[in-house]
Amino acid sequence: MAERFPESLVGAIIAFEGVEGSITAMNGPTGCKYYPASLSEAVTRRGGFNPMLHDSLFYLGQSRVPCTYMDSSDYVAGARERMRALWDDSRRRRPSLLALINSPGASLIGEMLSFEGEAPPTVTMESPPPSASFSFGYGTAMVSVLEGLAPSPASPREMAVNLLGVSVADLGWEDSIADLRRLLALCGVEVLCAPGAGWSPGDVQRSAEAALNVAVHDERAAMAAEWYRRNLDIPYLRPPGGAPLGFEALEGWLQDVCQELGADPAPALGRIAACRRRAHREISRLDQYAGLPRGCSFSLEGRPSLVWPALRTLHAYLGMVPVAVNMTEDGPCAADVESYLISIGCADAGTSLLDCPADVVLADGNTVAGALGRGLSDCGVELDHPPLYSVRIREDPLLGLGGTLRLIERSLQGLKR
Amino acid sequence: MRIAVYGKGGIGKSTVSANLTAALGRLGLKVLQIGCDPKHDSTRLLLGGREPPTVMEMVRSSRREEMSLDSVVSQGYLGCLCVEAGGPEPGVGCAGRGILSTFELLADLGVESLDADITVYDVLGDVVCGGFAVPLRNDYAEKVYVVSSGEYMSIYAANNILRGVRNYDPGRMAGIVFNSRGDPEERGRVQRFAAAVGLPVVAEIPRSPRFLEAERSGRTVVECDPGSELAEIFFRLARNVTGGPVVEASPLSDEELERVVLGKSPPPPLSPRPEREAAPERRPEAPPAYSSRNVERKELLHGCAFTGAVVTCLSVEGLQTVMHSPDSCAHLSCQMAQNAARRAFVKEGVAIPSFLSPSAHCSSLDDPAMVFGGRPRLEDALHRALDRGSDVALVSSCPSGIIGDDVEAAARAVSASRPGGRVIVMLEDGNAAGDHMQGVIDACMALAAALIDPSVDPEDGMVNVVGIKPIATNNEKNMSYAASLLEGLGMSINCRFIGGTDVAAIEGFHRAGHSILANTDRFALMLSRYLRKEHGADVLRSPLAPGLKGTVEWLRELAAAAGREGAAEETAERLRQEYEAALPPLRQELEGKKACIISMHKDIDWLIDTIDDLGIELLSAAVVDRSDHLMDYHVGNRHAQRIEFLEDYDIREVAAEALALGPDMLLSTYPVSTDGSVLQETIPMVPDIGHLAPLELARRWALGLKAPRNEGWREDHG
Repeated sequence: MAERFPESLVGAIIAFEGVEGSITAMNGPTGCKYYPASLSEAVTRRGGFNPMLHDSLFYLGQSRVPCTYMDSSDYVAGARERMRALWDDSRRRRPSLLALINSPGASLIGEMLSFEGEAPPTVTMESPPPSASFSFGYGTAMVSVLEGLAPSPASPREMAVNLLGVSVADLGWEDSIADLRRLLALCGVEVLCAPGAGWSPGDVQRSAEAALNVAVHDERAAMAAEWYRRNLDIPYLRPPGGAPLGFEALEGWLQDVCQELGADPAPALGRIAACRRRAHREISRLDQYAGLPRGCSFSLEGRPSLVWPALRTLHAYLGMVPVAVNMTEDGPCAADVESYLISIGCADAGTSLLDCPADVVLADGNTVAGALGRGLSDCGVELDHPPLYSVRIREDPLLGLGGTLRLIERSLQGLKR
Repeated sequence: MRIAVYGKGGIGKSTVSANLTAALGRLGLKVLQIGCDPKHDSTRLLLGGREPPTVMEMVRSSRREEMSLDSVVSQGYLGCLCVEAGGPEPGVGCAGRGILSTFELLADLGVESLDADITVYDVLGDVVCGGFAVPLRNDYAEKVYVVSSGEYMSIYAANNILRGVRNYDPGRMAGIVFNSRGDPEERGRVQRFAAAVGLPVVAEIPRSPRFLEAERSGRTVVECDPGSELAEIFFRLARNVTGGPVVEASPLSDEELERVVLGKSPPPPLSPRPEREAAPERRPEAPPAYSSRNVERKELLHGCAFTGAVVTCLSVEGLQTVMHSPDSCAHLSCQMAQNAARRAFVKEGVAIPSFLSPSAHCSSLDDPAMVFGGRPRLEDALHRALDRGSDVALVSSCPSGIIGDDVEAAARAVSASRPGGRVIVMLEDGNAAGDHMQGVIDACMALAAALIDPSVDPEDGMVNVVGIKPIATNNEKNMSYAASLLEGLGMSINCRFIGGTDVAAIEGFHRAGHSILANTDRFALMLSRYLRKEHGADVLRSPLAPGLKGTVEWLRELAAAAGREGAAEETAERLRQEYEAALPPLRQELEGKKACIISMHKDIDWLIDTIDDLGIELLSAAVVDRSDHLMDYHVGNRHAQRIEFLEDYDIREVAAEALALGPDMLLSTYPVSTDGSVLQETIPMVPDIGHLAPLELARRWALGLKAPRNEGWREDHG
């Protein structure tokens, strides 16, 4: 069994890469650059790996996250001059935001990342948090983006919200935002932007006009939400059901947002009700034919804001039973998950998905592949990056109404008696 | 206002700082003094001899939400505020990191909100790393004072500090505080130095027993005897702080310093000194005997040895891998293994159990561990790993190397306490040992040295495969093909070294009397050299290869070594017949077509053989040198005269030249042009082996030639 490794460095880089038109330049060795760069390429579709086409010095075959390729002598003498050259190269590319970040090793020797000279808006992270969660790295970087781009206070627009806590590393992030945006639009609520997930510097400024910040993934939303509250007096709503996934959590999420703004959730709830009937038709077929899905087992892994609504959907809505539940980091929903497991008599559910057979395994694509490859399950549903299959053309949200139907449909797909 | 007081350890800078703070206080100013020295005694004389809790102690013992300024800010003489950074015990951890962390944490906790007119940073000046330079940064000290006696090493340290200031905003030097040791010559030395660097001596503090007396009572001279001449020196210094000018100093070279301070003429240099370049050459020492290309040639390092070693270890079933690193390094390495497993599962339908569920453990180095040393966390991770299995590989990361953790001692201590446990140490220190490939080589050698049992006797019919790339997705396919041919010889694979193997198979390496190389690259070459020299292995020269010729070559060489020539000839004939039978339909489709090759692989004989056999006209073949891909080993290159080997090139020009020849298809390691008018087919990074494997590729070429050159999707951009 692998220990779970949080990923604060990747979290920070992904927050920077989530700004449209940005460049994240790393002062560090290539070993710290390759994976975050390839992740960024994969999730934002901004270029790909081709050492023959992306052969410029700092980029090393990739289209994202140039670096200073530090080596052991640089840990003695520093790499300031090379970092200056990278800064110069980066600013000449005129990014919307230039984010400069030290690798853990570079931060240990105290490399300074500020330079004198004309440059695009720049943020620096000289000491990225080591050995912390993705959410902590992400949140820390989000705060530095907000401080660097400093949206000015603005009069709130009555029915306008920002969606907080979505990152470009979330599976189907664009589609999830679009799905939620459509549902909220039915209620007369406008989504100004999703800070951190494909937002532009213009969006950063516009985000100050929101009447409300709404958590999508609360563990990633909290630090930015606090910044908005403290600096721009924008209130923050954290719906208690976790991310808007599954009929119950989605309805609750929409009702909470509408209640806070004085909007009418009925049109969106009507749309959801129609989908509930559609799902009912399909599930009742399975029920009548084979008594499915009641009593089928599932194992589930992810951050708490995803695990919490997915757990309720699979257990309370579909009648399936958890045999392993693992939360990859801490978050406000973690306690809810634990209490729920106790309340349904599943406190003994294991935490390792790769030790436990299950009818359906729901996790990131690598863990799903691990479970399928070891013969622990015949059916996998990806809840986090990477996906099993990398080509994505159809709209395929993880969250919202489309995400809810995806979760139900794909969980049922592999069930058998 | 913020000032920094720098000086060599033991020179009296803390005494000067504390008296200065006391004097500033008596002038009516509110002062915050921050001691930036691991021995944390900067503010003791302001606190009646008490030593306050340090910031680093708080970091080590408290959760973030429990930390507050109140816990580390003490009030001292005349209400001055005192903070001590603290740091690790001598010999462990990283004191510079401690200073960095202190400044970051104090900023987070809102040190700016403290009611202070002046902040005095009292900083150890012997150490000139980035951590101790934080107060020199532009957003910290506006004025810098250097405390020095007239001893040469003290002045040497002062000069180093001036060099440090020059790296930031140099125009912030306020002057030298001359703290006399009583040597009659020293005033002259300090004055000559001050004049040479262009700094004023802003204070001269005589040697006096009054300092010791005041110190015994836990107080400053200013507090004990504010009307004294000694105190007056500090009042004058305090006035300089509030109103004195700043200048830019001109630090001296070492030779100049000796001449100015000691009056010595430097001896002629033993040999000409090379000019210091902006990017210093890596590792001056000789490369290891078994090195990657990047390491041997001192090139830019692609990836890090840490990840290479970790991924290699993770590929061994039954081996627990401990990473002495921050979680980030562990995550990046495990992702590489797990991504490879996912790709193999999705694309090849093959499970790689050791990668699907890596047996990995991390010491999770965090800020406190990097300041105070990470050995306790490492030992904890080693115990966790040994709870799960008796064989543990331990790989060190950059941070571990930078803070100087004694990884081997930790491994010894844990092994000694766990009878039967075996810890195999790989001191990669991130990329200090080299690039990713060096890590792979190092790990293979370390595992071989630790695990291969020399007492095992060879068994008839067994063969090892050496130099497998664990993250290649077609390993299982290739091994399955090799096994099927070996079966024809009445032989089977003993140990796959290393990739898809387990501890027991490595221990029993000598059960096989012969080993075959999995490929022709430098990695395989280094391993074969090592295994021959250190383990007496008989590694055959012909590798597993794509194509009929290569396949028959290794088959015959192995058969000759194992005395099974007859069976090999039968198999070779069968392979030839199968190959001949597969050729005609492809030849019909491809004969007369024109091709160009641009390869990052040096070994393309098999590709040219295939092109020739299919009657394709080869217009050009270029092998482009890349530090991250091309292997600088000797490959026979039967077709060498038809290949252009390019070391200095522009890939766009190479591609344009090839395209100008008008090929029907361009075969390259990666697409080299975004122009869709020519068929671009890729040459796999790790090609499938076997007599028919190149024809499988050719089948793709034939299909590709039937595809339109201007597909509809190309019109939909933007």
